[in-house]
Amino acid sequence: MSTAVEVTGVHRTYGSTTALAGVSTTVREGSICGLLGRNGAGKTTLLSLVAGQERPSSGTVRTLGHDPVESVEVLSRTSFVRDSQRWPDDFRIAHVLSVAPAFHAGWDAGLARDLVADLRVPTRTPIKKMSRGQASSVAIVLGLASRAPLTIFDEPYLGLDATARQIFYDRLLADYAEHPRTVLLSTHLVDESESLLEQVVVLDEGRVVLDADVDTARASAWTAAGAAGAVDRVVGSRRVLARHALGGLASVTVDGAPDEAVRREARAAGVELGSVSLQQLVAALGAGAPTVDAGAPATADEGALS
Amino acid sequence: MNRAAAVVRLQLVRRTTWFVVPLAIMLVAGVATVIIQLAIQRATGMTPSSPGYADSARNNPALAWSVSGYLVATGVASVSSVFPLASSLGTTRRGFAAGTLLTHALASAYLALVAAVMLGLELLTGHWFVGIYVFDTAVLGAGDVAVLLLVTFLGSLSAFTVGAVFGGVWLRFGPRGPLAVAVVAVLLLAGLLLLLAPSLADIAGAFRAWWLAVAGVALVLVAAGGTTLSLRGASVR
Repeated sequence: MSTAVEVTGVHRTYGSTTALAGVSTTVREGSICGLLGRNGAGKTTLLSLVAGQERPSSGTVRTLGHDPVESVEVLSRTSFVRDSQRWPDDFRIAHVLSVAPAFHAGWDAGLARDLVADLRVPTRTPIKKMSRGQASSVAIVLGLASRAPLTIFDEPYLGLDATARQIFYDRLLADYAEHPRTVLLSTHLVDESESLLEQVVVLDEGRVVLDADVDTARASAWTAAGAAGAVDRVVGSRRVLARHALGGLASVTVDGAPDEAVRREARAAGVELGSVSLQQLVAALGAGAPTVDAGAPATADEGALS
Repeated sequence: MNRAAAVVRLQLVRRTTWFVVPLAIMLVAGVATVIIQLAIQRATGMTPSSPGYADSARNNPALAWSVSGYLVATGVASVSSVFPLASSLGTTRRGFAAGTLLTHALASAYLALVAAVMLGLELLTGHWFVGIYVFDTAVLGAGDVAVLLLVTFLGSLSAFTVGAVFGGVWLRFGPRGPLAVAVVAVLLLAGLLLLLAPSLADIAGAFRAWWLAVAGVALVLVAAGGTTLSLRGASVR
């Protein structure tokens, strides 16, 4: 299978701020790739480089086989709506449905109409005045109905209710099955979107900290939970990605796969070993410092880890 | 579809902005002109056939000035607020600049045609039956339809493209961009005025109307070039 996106040694700086620092990755044509990471990790910057909306400070970006900047060949086959997309004044969904076919050869007007109805996009309200979720719905309509060979969704779920998110997942998968294309998806809702993804690229502070298919990513770390001292003994000198402590209990996310010796020692010490979800792994990779001590878990996921 | 043509469609999809509001402004300016000229007729006792009335009534640039501000503002918005969406839809920066310039030309042609039709009606009705000069004015060619077409087209296009370059530099440089362009333009004009001041009388004597047409074309070319250049480095955000 050929490569849809190839990013090699890309740096992107804005003044004294470094958004991307030596990013390299490839995305297979026809795959759904999740771009994950914390706010400010560089996800939108990377997507805009892939979409040819910006130039890298150094390094190379090849999209659909070309340098994407000012490439009609690439841009006419790419859909990229930003999470903070700006819309012209008084622009309504009817305007979007009217002009999009002029830009996307594969535009499916029927699908667009269905999505507008299913996602309950207001027809009379200017997009600029829509709620966050409604504006996200417009972006989803534009992306899905474009049938662009490279379709990029930048935080498409922002503000969407659970029903709308499920509609998006279902429609994306159904349309992808009928019309395979490359989909790049940046999101924070890792658990919800995990089943969609074939590949994940995790960014942290402008660097790629994980680039793998989803199964490999899940197998790339494990958790240990129990009495703090016992956990530390079991983990030993292995690389700890994240640690949460509550009283005398601790839970750690550890890089790599647990070997038989670790399993034996854990059983003997009463330490529970487990696999990580993608959400846990991404949170751990973005945690930075390996140790987090808190009086109480900060999130439900951290609670699960504890 | 050609990217520039797609941009034209994107721009013109908001028909009210391009086709309705300018007419509404012209209509309001026309109504104001009617009221003022009728008031002058009543106050001075002059009639449309009075000596000098037509010349005085023709010195009424209201129509040209009333709509120019809106055209500049529309030119600004046609770049600053449409460029991010056009980029998302997959147009190149060159394609956007070309399509936007084409949009401005089409809208200017539309306004010129409307003005020509209105001038025709004005002349056919003997200046709206009561001696009112709205389109048959000195600045629009004093009843010469060819001059009116040229002045309206180039005037509108100049206003759109000047607005567009301000929109472009705003996208490229932020709020300091338009400020810098305005300051530079004022300084250039001031310098030109000071340079030509000793010869102004001679220049005025030799002045020909076509000079304005050439100046208009030059302004459009410079503004369109400036817009294209500023968009090359503009942020899509």
